Amino acid sequence: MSHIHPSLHSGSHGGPAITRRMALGGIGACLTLAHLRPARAAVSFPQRLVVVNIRGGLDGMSAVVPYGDPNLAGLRASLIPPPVGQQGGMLDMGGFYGLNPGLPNLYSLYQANQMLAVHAVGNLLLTRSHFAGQEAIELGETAQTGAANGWINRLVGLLQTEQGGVEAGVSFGAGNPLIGQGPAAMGAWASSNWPATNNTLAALVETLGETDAQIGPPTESGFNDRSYFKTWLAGSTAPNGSTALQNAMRSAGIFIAASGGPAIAVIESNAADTHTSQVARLATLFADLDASIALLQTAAGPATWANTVVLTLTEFGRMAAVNGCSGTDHGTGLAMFLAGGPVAGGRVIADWPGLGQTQLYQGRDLAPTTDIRAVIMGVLQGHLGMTNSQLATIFPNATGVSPMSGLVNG
Amino acid sequence: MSNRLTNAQVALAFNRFGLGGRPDDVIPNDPVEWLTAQLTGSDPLANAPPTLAYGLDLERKAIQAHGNPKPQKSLLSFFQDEQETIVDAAIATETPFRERLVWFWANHFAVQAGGDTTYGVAGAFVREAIRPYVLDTFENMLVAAITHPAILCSLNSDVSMGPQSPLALSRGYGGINENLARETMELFTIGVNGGYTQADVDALAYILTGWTVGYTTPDIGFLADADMHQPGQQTMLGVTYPGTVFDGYAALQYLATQPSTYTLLATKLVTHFTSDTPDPNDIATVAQALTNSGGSLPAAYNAIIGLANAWVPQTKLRTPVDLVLAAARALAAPTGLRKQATDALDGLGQPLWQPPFPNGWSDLTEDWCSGSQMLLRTNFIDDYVKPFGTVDPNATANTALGALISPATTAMMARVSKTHDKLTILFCSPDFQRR
Repeated sequence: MSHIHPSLHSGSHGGPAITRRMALGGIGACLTLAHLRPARAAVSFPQRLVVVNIRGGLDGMSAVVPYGDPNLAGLRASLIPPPVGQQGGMLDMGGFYGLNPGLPNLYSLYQANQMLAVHAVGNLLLTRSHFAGQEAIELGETAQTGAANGWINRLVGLLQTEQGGVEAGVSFGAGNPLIGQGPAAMGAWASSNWPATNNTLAALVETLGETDAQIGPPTESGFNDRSYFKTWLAGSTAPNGSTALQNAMRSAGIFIAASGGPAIAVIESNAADTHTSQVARLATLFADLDASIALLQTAAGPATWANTVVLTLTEFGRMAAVNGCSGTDHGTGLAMFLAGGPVAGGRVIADWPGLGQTQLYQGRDLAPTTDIRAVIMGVLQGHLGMTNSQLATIFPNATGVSPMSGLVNG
Repeated sequence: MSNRLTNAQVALAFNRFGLGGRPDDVIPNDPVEWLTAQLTGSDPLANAPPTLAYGLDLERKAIQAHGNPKPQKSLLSFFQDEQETIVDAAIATETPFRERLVWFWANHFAVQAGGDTTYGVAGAFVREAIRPYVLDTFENMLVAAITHPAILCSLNSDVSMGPQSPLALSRGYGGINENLARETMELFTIGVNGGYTQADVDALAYILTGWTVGYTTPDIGFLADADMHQPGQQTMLGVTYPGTVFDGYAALQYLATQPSTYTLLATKLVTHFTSDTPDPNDIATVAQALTNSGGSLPAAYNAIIGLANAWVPQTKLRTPVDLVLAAARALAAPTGLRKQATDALDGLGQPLWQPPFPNGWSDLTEDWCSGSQMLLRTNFIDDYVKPFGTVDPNATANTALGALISPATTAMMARVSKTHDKLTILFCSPDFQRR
């Protein structure tokens, strides 16, 4: 797959090879990337991880409602779904928590011990800023502590690969999410509104792209991967009315099950910032998320699902009390879902801090009692077999944070 | 006067500061004069129709027809017309540096259009709150933006109410929504490290209560409604405001002129016009120009034009917007293909006025440098150039890149025979992907 043409290279100016984030982390790694990375690098192990980044700050106390907390109703009565057992009521998770009734597929997984929630989790900075919070959970670090690329990228850089297929990690969408940015090669898939460029012309575009150290590698990746994606998706059509998230999740399910497919898939949703009309907005979001996970499970098939963990992220939870617009403003403690065949599910994991006035973080938000990295590290260790030293590479400044054990069946 | 961009600095000015060359450009001798000449006079599109009132009336009808959040079809088609209108203007403009600044500020004050209360006003926002102030002070632009229904609705301040306001007391419920207050500090002015606390966010949210939107004559447009305003003093960042519904003006004036605001604006401008890794000295220079001039935006632009790093070629990756506009301009795209250009922004992942978050769209290379993006760009260009089989591709290359074209691109264009393939290679080349 190498397209090195000395005659073209000799005249290239190439543009700058240093980006903000690369400059922070060290320049050397990226300059020769185009020539170091194998064009085909399929994973040689069966485990799969699908990360769904629900950007915007998902209200964890609407997703997994702590209905057993005596202070909940006083804070947000209008946001609480009907009680467990009633028509359209919460789906009970052990007598204290109730799953939002808009997540029936996730509840089926919970009942099959294939889904768990972790509650009262904090992002690294305890910030109420979308952008500082997103950067923290995507870098896996605070910006100040020096990590220069996304933690998924560092993870992908550690995975053992073999010849044949696409990159070990693939993101979904037209952009390049921060969580996957960095020196390790990542694939990316997005649906196209235009016909495919023919191979002859594509090869010339790809060759010319190699004259630029930044544009070359993704161009090569795009053209290398497209034939795999096309083959894998052949014969599968999106159900009518599929959302972008559903289309991505269904495609991800197909890709992770394919021979030569990725081990890691990264998918974004942007709909969680519910400052107004939260109940209605979340009903839409939950319906989309729930259908998406079901589509992924079906597309992956039982054998792959048995080796797949779906992990949801979000940058913060929301304020404990309802605001003036039937919504919630930015808060702190958040909730995460883990779903999949290996998940030691059927429970909610939380060191529940309580919702009394003195128990709330700064008198205002669900207090975080678990570092989000502990959950992620627990998945990486339990599911992907990452060693402590590998975890230290992925989260270099997480000293004092222990991976949460027992999230997946050993 | 040559119609060939043989002067590399002129070619750079066209691409870096402008929106890409057009075949009918008059080529200047002095790129700096060409830029500064665009920083005078009024923008003919400022306050042009359709008016805010027209858009609000469409929204009112849509809301009455079936409520939030599904937009009525006529409102959605009005929004799409507005998108195509501004894309048209950007493809045709003879003052592309000034137009780039319009798009820059419209992205700084990013409206997230997506429903009954934003589709009708997103276009008016650019005409009324951005265009008249691009050569004014930042303070005046900030006030115009925050008091515009597009921002008030996009960030939910239109429905934020003081819990002790007369209206809330008479209804028996009501409270603040802090969205606009937080993002005004974090994104529009002093920045996330600007030294504010949650209490400051709350204070600004209370100060802004009552700033809402009227939908019927004579109270159509921005309203400062004392009935919704939280009574009593508020203290934000150490300054106490008396408690009137007009306190927001003084609060915005304070925020607009803080040193941290000038640093935030300088960082964003220098990143846009020099590189993804801006030189801290350049940021300091531009921030100083803002400080010395009381926040004059032309002073900032002139400082940027004076930076040596602003004249280092090809440091920035074109965003999808930049790419589509530059390709359409180089081809002098006719009307029908301008609609395709607008649609292409959706297909390339940068739908106009619809960023996923109020921080707008990134202009950093890494945020767009994915395999999917590069493939989509190739597919788009391959398709878009199909009707241009009769143009002279070498002339188009001159229009688009001039002296900035690399030998590699010239050689690759020479390897293929079809005009279509030459144009595809030209617009997909790293030379053209950058500005």
